[in-house]
Amino acid sequence: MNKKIYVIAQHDGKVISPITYELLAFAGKVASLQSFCVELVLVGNTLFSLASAMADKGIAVTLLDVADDSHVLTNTTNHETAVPVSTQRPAPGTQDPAPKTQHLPLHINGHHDSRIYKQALSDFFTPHESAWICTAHTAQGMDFSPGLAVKLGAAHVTGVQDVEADNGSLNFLRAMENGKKLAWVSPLTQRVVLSIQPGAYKPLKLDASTEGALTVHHIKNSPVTAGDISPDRHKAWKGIQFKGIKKPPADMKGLSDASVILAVGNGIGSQENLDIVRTLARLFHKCAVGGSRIVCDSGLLSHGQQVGITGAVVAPRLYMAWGISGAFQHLAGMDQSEFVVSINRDPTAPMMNMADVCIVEDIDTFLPMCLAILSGEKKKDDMK
Amino acid sequence: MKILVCIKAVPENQESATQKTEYRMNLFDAFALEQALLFRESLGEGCIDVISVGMEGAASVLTRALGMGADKAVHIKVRKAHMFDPFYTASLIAAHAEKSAYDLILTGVMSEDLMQSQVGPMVAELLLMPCATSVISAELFRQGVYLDRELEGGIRESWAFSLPCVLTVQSGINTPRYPSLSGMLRAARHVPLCFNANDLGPPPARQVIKRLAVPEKKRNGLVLKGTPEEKAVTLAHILEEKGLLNRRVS
Repeated sequence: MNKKIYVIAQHDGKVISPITYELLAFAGKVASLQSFCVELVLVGNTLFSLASAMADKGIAVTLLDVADDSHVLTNTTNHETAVPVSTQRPAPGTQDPAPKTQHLPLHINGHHDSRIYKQALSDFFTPHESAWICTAHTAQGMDFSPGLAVKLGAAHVTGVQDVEADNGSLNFLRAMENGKKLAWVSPLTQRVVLSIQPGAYKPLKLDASTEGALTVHHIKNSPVTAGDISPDRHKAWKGIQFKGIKKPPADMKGLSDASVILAVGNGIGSQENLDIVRTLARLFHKCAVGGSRIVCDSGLLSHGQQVGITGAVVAPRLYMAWGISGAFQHLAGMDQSEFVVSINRDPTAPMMNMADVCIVEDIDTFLPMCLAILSGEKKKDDMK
Repeated sequence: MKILVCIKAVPENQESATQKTEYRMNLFDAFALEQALLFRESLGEGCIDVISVGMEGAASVLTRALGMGADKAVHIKVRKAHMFDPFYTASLIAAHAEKSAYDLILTGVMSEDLMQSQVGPMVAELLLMPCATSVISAELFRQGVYLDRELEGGIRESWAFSLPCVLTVQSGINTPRYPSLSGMLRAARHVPLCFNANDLGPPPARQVIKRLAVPEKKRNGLVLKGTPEEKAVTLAHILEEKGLLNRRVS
């Protein structure tokens, strides 16, 4: 029997997240290098129809069905309504409203519980002497993958962008130093957990030409059993409560609807420069101003104006990056833009690799100059 | 309350024959330390230890952490060859933390240089403590922490965690303070506890870097030449040709 490479599906209990198809594409490449078989693993409960739908699409699927009768969570909020981000929590020291105990399915509005993922997956993989396991390098995947690797004694390579065969073993490509460098990493263990960078692989299109299969394993839900650990830690494990989902700020819509985005990064420097960018924005049709995470964190822009995986994912006709170095999570949020202009003092900034036009200039000099020329205030003949 | 903050010293410059590598505090860990200081202020009591697994240069970063307000510093010295393996680092931190019964362990969501996002959740697993990653807001209540985790697309997930637990902190959760003068004076007198990793029985490496590579160009970027004015004029013409400018240029 061929060895297997396992893909851990990301899902919200109802729908398989698109990233899962990127993981399947990556696993497909590994499979072709090593003649492995690809198998999709779903963790959760009440997922039988979701799992069999994937099997019908021609994939070998393993469902780790976690018994939900022991999964008792205490919750104090209504999970069906989104809580605005501005909602204040009770002040420290004040009493919670009396909690009411409910039985909840494992996935509510897409929330996932890393305790259950770690336990179900380590139960499943522990009997396997060797295993290749792919997870998504997303907030969800990053929450359980390192812990799973520890449980399995596995090497864990995160943010994987590519794979190559190397004398019978495999090397994996990952970014370092904000995308300025890449490293080929080689795992040294029998079991390996890989988290795959979103956007690194084109999603696999399933054609159902091959025959799928579905295997169901029932897993007892007991992330930590009393007796394994000290009483205070056991209490800590039991004490985790999910409190709900908060929707992103509404002003993100401005970014996704814009046909031109002027985006600013750390290199923008000052409020004055940002004001010039705003004036520049008036010269374009349907133009919005956005920024990198660091600019939004600093308060120069609101978090609703953040472009990137943790902000808005955009694809405008023109994306002008002012002083943005281009971390992968930012690039993955704008790499579908039709035309990209990068202005940066640093010619080695990763954004330059993504740009159709590269301008190596100091923002302080070039920005006012650009405004003068683009607005027609300064004619090109004036300079001659 | 006993809090441990794990801090990485990241290189500020490329090493060269003429220049010694300078180190600074990993940005994400600065947010974690600030959060620990805010927790201590909100409680009016508490003890904050900082720990760094790193080379000689990490000592300056620990001094800065003490200057910001941490109480005690621990430096576990490692060789450069071991700096890449997150499990190695996590094992050393967990071995120290196991002795001290911390209520809370904080660290950054990732390091700026290697960006592996593993040490925090691995420390948690080694100590069998619950862990929340990518924490973007946090507030203490009685015996726990209310926190938001940041997901993709600006969505946040709210949780209540009981203590003890491990949190990895996202940038933007707070504004890290500068070290105070009195803090730096105190830090100058404090001698960090210092260990050599090899004396602590570290685990074998689980992964190695085979070779480094340079990112390839995704688009065939046209590099504009000339003075800033000439570049701006060329840009204006390119945008005009593409019909992207609202008005005609010149």
